[in-house]
Amino acid sequence: MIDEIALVKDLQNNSSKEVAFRTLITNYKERLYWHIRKIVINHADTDDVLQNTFIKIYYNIESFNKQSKLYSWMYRIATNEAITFINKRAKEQHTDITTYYKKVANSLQSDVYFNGDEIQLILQKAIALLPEKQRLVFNMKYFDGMKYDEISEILETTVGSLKASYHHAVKKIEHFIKNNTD
Amino acid sequence: MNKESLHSEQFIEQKVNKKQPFSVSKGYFENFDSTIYQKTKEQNFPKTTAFKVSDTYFKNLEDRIISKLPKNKKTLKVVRFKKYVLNIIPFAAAAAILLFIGLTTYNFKNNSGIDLDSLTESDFEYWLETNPINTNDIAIVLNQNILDETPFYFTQIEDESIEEFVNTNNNSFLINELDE
Repeated sequence: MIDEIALVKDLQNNSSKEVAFRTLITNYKERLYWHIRKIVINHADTDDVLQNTFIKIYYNIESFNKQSKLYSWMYRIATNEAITFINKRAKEQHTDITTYYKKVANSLQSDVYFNGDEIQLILQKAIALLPEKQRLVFNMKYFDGMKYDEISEILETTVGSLKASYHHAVKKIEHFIKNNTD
Repeated sequence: MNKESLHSEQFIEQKVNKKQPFSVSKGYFENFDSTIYQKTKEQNFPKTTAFKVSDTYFKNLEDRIISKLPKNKKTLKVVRFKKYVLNIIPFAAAAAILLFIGLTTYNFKNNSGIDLDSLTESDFEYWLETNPINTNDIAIVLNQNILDETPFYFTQIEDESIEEFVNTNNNSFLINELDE
């Protein structure tokens, strides 16, 4: 278990920043990768966003005020980078977010980096149709097993609001799965 | 229960007053039904996303990311300065739009049958092409507090940077930026 306090201290010190940054990447790359992947879906896009996230962390670490956990702060940056990326892609394709997500989810079937069965594909399509907040909360709670308190710190939303979002998300996903399976 | 146990029980009761020491988080019982409902539904959902990644992807990721950082401190300073300048441009660009609206409104007052609502983006873009933005002019329409808050002088922004920003961003977004 990495000592976050010590790591932040090294990151905010010019003489130790480079080494500390490498340590940071090694320890958090996978967790952040899978979080971003669930938002942007596609591996190549995830790679772009992940690298941009770490670059942003590098340039902004001095402004990390230690009022939240380092991981929550990084997770928040990753979430915002991923959402910005999706919004930009949708705009480039002259489409709205929901339509963009539907397109991406539909392309999963032929994606070499997706080895899911039919029900997993249906689940991803259901998630793609959710509003942004519900999608985020569902992915973080259901797949990542995060607690509401942790999600609240990352998304800067109240626990009550998150619970409501999750409740709606689960209902919608269940409805979609029922309508798309025998 | 024998006398000894009863006596012990009474002793305990006297000490702790049978008060329940445990508590629950706020709203726990109110949300309990919903929680159980969700868990029953989740039982039917697949447990993983089925996304995968190549075995070698995470190896050397550190080197790939670090290679994108500036090589020397001088370059880092330039990057930071550029980032600072680019943060100022939305204000300047939004001010350009207000300048356009202000000037056009004045002209419209003297023309019947034409109103502000009939202005289109193409009107603004034409105006930009035929009236190169001068950052000194823009400063006139900006709130004084924006000029005071930044130590950066607007005359240092390249006019081309402002025009490029305006052309690649939605104009209503720029107006909202200025309002904030």
